[in-house]
Amino acid sequence: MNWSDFIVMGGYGHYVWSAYGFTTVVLALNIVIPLRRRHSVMRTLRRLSRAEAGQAE
Amino acid sequence: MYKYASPKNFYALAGQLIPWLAGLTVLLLAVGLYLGLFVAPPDYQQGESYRIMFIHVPSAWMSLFVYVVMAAAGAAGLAWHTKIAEVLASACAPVGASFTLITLVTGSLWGKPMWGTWWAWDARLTSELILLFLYIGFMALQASIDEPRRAARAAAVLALVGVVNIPIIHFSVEWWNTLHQPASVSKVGTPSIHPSMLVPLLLMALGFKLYFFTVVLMRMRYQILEREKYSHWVAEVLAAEK
Repeated sequence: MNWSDFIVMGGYGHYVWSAYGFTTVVLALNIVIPLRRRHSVMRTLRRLSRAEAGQAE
Repeated sequence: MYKYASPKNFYALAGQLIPWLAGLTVLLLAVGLYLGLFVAPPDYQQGESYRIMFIHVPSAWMSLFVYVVMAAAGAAGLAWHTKIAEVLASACAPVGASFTLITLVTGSLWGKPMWGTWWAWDARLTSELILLFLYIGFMALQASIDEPRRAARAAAVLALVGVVNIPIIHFSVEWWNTLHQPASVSKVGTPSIHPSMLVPLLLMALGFKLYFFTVVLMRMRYQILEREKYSHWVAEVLAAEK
C-alpha cells in the first residue's frame, strides 16, 4: 500500500480521516485543559497564601 | 490502602503514576493505530471505512465505563463523604462526555457511507445521545452550586438516577430492531471478528482506558488542591513545586 492509497482509504478517506481527526482534537483538548487549569489553580492558591501571609504580619 | 484515601497521599501518588500511565497510553495507541491502519486487511463488506471502528468502539465502551465509575464514585461520596470519591466523580464527567461525543461523531461519520444517513432515531443512537445529556446535566448541576460538598451530592444523585440508561444502551441492539449492528466482540466464546482486527481493537481499547486514568488523575490533582487550599500540606506543595 502506498501513501496516496492510504490517504484515499478506498474512497472513504473523508469519513475515516474526519473521524480520526475529530477524535485526536477532543483527546488533545482533554490534556491541554487540565494542564492549563492546574496552572491557574496554582497561581490563584499562591496569591491566596501570599495574601494570608500579608494579613498575619 | 486507606492511607491513599487521604487527599495529601493521593495527590502525591497520582503525581507519580501519571507519567507511567501517559507513557503506556502512548505506546498502546501507537501500536494499536499501526496495526489497525496499516496491518489489518480491509473488511470484505465495508472496505476501508470499517477502520473507524478502532476509535468508535473503544470510545463507546469508555463512554459507558466512565459513567459507571462516575456513578460509583458519586455513590461512595454520598455514603462515606470521602472527598477523593467526590473529586473522582467530578473529574470523570468531562472525560466521559468527551468519549460520548467522539462515539456519536465517529458513528455518524461511519453511518453516512454505510447506512446512507448521518443519524437515525434508533434505540442505540438515541440512548447514547441521552448519555451525553446526562454527562452535561451532571456538569451543569455541579457548576450551579457553589459549595463543593453540596454540589457533589446533588450531582451524584443525578448520576445514580442516570445509571438506568447504561443497560439500555448496552442491550438496545438486542431488545430493539436497530439500524446499529449488534456487538461483534462480546459474543460469548467465539467473537465474530478476525484476530488481525481484534488485536488492534483491544489495544486501542486498553490505550483509551489508560488515557482515561491519566487525564482523570490530572484533573483530580488540581481539584484536590482547590478543595484543600487551607490545609498545611497544600502550602508545602505550593512552596515545593515552583
